[in-house]
Amino acid sequence: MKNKRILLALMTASLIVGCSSAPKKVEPVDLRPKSHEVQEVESTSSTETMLRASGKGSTVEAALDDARKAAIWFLLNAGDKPMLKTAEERNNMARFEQELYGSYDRFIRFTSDLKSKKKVGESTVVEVLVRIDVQMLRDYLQDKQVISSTSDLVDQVGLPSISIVASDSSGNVDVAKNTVGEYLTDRSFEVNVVEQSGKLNDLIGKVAKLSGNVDPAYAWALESGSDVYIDVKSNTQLGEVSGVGTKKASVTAKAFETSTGRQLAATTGHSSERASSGYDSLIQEAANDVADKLISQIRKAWLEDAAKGKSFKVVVFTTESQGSQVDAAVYGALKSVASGTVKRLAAGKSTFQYQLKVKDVANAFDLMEKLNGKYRGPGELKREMESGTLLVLKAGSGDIEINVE
Amino acid sequence: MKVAVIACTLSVLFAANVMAETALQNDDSQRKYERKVQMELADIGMESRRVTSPIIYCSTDDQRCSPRGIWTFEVNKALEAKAAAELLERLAGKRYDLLAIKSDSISITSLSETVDVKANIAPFSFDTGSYDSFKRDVDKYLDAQIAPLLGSVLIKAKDARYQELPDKEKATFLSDIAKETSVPADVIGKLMNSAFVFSFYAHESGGSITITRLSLGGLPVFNISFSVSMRVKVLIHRFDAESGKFVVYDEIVGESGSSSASDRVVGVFPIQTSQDNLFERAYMTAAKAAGIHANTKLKEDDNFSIFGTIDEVDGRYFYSNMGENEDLRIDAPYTISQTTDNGKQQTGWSKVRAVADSDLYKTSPGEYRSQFQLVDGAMEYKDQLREVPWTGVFFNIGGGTLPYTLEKIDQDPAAGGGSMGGLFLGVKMDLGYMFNKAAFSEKWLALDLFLGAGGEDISRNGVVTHTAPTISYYGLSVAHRYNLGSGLYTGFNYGYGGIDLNAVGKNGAAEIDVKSGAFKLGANLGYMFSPTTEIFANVDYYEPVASTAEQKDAPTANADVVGGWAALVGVSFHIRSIGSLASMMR
Repeated sequence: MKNKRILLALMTASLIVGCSSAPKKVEPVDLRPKSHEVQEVESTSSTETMLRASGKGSTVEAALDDARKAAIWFLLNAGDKPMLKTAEERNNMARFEQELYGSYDRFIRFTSDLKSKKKVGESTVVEVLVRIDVQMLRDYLQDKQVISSTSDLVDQVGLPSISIVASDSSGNVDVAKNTVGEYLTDRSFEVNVVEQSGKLNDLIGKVAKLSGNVDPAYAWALESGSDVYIDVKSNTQLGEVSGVGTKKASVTAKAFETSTGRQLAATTGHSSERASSGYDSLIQEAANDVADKLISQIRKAWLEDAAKGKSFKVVVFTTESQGSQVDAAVYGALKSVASGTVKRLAAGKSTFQYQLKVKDVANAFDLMEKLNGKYRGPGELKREMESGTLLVLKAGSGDIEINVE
Repeated sequence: MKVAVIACTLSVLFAANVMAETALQNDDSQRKYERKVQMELADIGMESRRVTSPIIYCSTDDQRCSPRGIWTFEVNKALEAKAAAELLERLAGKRYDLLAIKSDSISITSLSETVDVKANIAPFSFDTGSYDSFKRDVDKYLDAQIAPLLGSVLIKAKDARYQELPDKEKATFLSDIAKETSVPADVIGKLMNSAFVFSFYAHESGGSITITRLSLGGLPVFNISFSVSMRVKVLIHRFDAESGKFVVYDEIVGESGSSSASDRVVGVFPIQTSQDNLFERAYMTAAKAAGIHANTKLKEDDNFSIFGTIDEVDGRYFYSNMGENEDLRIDAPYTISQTTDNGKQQTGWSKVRAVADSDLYKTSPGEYRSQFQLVDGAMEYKDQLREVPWTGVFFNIGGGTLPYTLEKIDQDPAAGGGSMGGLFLGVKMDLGYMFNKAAFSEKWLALDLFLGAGGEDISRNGVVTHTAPTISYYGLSVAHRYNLGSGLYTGFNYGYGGIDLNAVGKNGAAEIDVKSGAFKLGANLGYMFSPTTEIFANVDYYEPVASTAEQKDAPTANADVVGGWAALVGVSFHIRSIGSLASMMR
């Protein structure tokens, strides 16, 4: 009987405890931003970006938090250069969203006083300027393996060397070239702002002509020996605000792989409309904008291909009589060192062009070293010129003239 | 007489609006005051230096008044300059830096210092003339002397994106322009923030003099009251960068109201030559009152009003990051608004309770904030504040009762009077605002006048001797007000005045005046519809003292009078033209 009482007491107790401690269903708090209205203002430096972000909440404080989160969201998902570029990266991010938005403050370097406040029904909508440490955010994403780290690849193949050239010759474009150059240098690129004055190397001119590219900017880029060249153009425009004359400028830039002529990136940057009698400051502003947009595109395209090896263009001159033998022998030699297929470009009876990717080769000089033992054709291979990823050779025996067919 | 004063108030709006990027700017919901520069081209032009004032002479002996000639005063150069300074101070205050153009130099007054620099800008000059001629001269002066300089400076500033230059480069830029224009760099720096110029001009002032003869202890005593009215027109020009000229932006008028000063002469009838000081005091009070009135109208324009935001909330109090630099005053009302889909909506209003010291702005900018109290409505963090044009002075009108019951005349039992109904008129002013002192916050000084009738006939020894009694009360009181929220307030007041009961004699008897001093103590309750309109109800206890009864051809007799509870309801309207009360404004 006593045992029964104890048992009954225990059952009652467990029922009470069980009921009282029944797990409550706790809805997870969604920390993601409600607002997605963000406008990029400017890249304040190579690692920081200023945005005007809108936020929504039941109080001003909540709306302010939402605006700051929205600024982070914008850099991750929207704009001209979202950090999450692929579906896979966006999926990866889903796992870390709560963590990221739960501690977003660490990425924010500055939040302005409110720029706007509006009541919409029961909610408050605010706008603020937010400056975000983009580099820190990128590092976080790489650390979490949301996006792949490019540092290993960079260590392996290095960042591309970049030449900055201009198709037009207006005075304004020099300002744009220099500004883009400064920006890229600040981001660790090896940059050469090409003067485009003086006499172009004769052989380079012939090679450029051989490629069918008559743009002098391309020839200057070839001569500079860079991996990538950026062709910059500037435009200016007059306007009027409240009866006051204004000016604005835009800068368009296209980036190409020098060896292949493949376009890697293209974008346009704009200045604000200002009451100013000169264009220099406006061009600078637009050029900063364009450099910021361009840089992530170049980096992405370059590093994606970097794993497959570095691209080279090889131009071979020989005599008509030895043409077919030299062509076959050079092609064979190139195939033996290439990491993929070797493309044969436009060819004549005595002039041949090839395009290939080679791993573990830093420049055309190294490529020449590799080819030396592989050539099985008539005569020998002689280096006529090398510039970055361009290698110009003479192959065969006897007097070989350099003529563009 | 005409008085002309010209001053230029230069704001940052033009340069900033055109040059700053839209994305970096606050919108209308978060507007904030940007410090402006006022350029003073001080000169007083006068249509006539004469102030002609008719004299009214009154005597208490026979209680009659009559005209007694005209006095004419001249406004000399020294008074001219003092009046100009007073007008400018009222229109500018601490919220502007001052740039005064003199004959061979320009003085720059900022919050911290005044610096004189040599300059070759010709000063504005206007002696006397009509408003049209004054306006023409101002136009001509601005377009000839200021516009070319301002235009070239602004254009160069735009070229250099001046607003965005680092401080060091700004200094170099100013120095270069200074060399080019032969205008000191400090002056150029002030001109950079330029767009509006306002000049003000006073129309002909009227004067009037009342001399009242009193009999005190056998010697004749003369009270002199000198009133001057001044009307000031403020002409605002805006610099049009496109045409490179100044265009008229607005015209406003400031009225002083009747502004008085008084004096007393014993023994001999006052003469004009000894009253220059009195004239000067009255004239300066009028200039001050006109400046105050013009300023309230100027503040209706968003370009010249103070805006701020609520930067911290603490119950019914809140703080905003502004203070002495923006010329905030104790008890000054500020509206609170929010922006919604339907535009800007006022949600409430508040009053300044503590003004941040300007020294804090330099030493601890984070603590540079003033305290406000919510008076009515609602507010939340980052709501918009806007200054309400205000003088702190109200006109009261209402009705009620006044108890005044006669019990004895000499040793004879008497009766009459009682609780009489009537009209209440008065003026009240917020001493916190007038003196700009927190210790006086919500202390209201009132000047009261009550005119009543309808009391019981006066009887002496049981015989009705006088009928149809009327009563008047005039006095001063101070009220301490406590805001209860939702526009309601309560408080208590105390004061002292004089009561005069007058009744018509019966059966040929002379009329009787029963007079007393009277202390009063009471409580009040009110509701403010807005910072400028309110209703109130007072309950006051009156205690008559030192009562006397006077009848013609009879010696003055002592009287016993009892007071009692009085009730009063009324409405108060804010007034902008405050006349003589301007002399109290600090």
